[in-house]
Amino acid sequence: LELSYAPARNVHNPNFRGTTDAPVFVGEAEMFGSLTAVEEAQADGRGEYNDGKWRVVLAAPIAMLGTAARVGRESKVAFAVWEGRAQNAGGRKMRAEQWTKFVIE
Amino acid sequence: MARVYNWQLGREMSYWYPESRPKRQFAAVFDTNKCIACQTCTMACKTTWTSGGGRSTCSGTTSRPSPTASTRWLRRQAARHARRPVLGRRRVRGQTIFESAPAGERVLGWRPEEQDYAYPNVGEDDCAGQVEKGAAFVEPHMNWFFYLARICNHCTYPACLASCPRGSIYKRPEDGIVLVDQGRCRGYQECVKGCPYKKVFFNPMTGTSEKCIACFPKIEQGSSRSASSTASARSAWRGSSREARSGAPGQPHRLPGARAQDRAAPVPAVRPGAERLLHPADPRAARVKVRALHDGAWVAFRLEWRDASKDELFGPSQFSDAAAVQVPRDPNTDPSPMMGQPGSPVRILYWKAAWQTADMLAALHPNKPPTDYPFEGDRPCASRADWS
Repeated sequence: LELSYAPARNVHNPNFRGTTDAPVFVGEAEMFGSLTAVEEAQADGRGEYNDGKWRVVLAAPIAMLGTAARVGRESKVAFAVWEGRAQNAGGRKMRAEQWTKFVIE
Repeated sequence: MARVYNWQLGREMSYWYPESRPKRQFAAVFDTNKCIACQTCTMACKTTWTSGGGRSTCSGTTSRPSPTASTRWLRRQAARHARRPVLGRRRVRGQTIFESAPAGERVLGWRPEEQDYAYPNVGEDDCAGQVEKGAAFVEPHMNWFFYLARICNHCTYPACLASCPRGSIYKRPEDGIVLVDQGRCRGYQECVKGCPYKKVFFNPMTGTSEKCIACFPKIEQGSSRSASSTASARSAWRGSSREARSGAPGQPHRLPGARAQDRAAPVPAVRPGAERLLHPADPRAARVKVRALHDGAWVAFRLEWRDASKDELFGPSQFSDAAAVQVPRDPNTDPSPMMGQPGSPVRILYWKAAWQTADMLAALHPNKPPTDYPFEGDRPCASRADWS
C-alpha cells in the first residue's frame, strides 16, 4: 500500500533516499537532462557543516567511475556545487569551467 | 522556440516544443452555477490519490477564488506580465507566459512558498464587493459571487512540460493527459514555478514533483474521475473535448474552442538544452578546495567550500545544498565538462545535504502532530524512516 502512494519510490527513482541509503549516488550523463542512475552502483559519503563551511566527502569504487579512472592513469575531473538558499537545482549551479587533471598515484 | 497555434488566443505563439496534438483531449467541466464549494471533489481526489506522506499540499481539485490563495496567485502571475493577454477578444496583442519569460527562464512563473499552501480555504466566502439587498442578476455583470473550481487543465501547451529541463513531463498522445514521469523527475521544481495554476506540487518525502493524473487508471477502465463522480449536484463532469462539443446528456454547456482544440496537441519532440549558469567570475560563485585519496579500490574526494547558510531540507521553494564530482567514463574521449555529450558520457558522484536528513517531514514541520492513516497495519508513508 505504501508504494501506491509513493510512485517515485515505486519506480526506484534515485532521488528518493531511505534513511539507510547513503546520501550519494552514482549517475551517468551524455548531455543536459540525461543524468541516469548507474544500476547497482556503490557510493558513500557524508557532509558536515561547521563555521560557515561545508566539508563533504564523496567516495566510490574506482571502477565505478568508469574505465578512465585507474591507478597510475591520467584522467580528468570536474566539480559542481549547488547552493540551496539561492534555489540552485539541476542546471542552476556553480560548476568548474574546465576539466582538472586527475591522477590516481 | 517553435511557433505553434494558440487556439484560445487565435494566433501563433512561441513554445518550447513543436506543435503536435493528441487524438483526443481530456477535459473537465465544472458548472459554476451549481458549485457550492462543498469540497467533495477535493476530498475525493485527496482520499483516492494523495494518502502518502509529503502530500499535504497536493490537491488535484480545489474550489475558490480565495484572496489568500488562487487570486493571490493570479495577481502574482499578472504582476510578472509585461503586457497581459486581453481575454474576450479573438485576437490579442499581449504576450503569453512563454513569450514574456525573462532571460534564463523558459516560462514566466513564480514559485509558491509554504505559506501559500497553508490556508487553502481562508477567504473563500469573502465577496470582493457589496451587493444591494434584493438585487437580481442583470447584464452586464454587477458584483457577483461564484466558486471557481481549479484543477490541472492538462493544457494544450503545458507550462509545466515546457519548464522541465529533464523532459520528465509528457502529454499522452491518446488522450492529452499531462503526467510527470516519476522515474525521471529529479525535483528541480521548475514545473511548480512554471504552472500558472499552481497545480504541480513538490513532494518532500520522495523528492519529486507530483500532479493531477486525471484519474487515468479509471479512464483507461472506462469509468469516471473521482472528483467528477462524487461532486455534489453533478457540478463536475469529465471527458474528452469531443464529447463536450457533441453535447453529452445533462451537459448544457459546450467547451469554447473545442473544435479548434481537437485538431491536435503538443507532444515533446525535442529536448531544449539550455543550462542556466552562475558565471565563474560572479562574486557569489563558490571557491571549492578539493582533496582526494584512495586505497587502490575506492577513491574519496573531500570538497570544502564556504556557504553562508546550511540548507539541508527540501520542500516548497526550499532547496538543498549539494555537490558533485564528475569524470569522463572512457579514457579515450574528451567530453564536454558540462555533463558530457552524446557518445562521450561522464560518470557523476552526487551528494545532497537533504539526503542526510532522516525524517524530512518532521524537519520541515517540527510541530506537526503525527498523521493517523485509516489503514490496517503500519502507517503507510508516514515518514521516510518507515520506508527503510
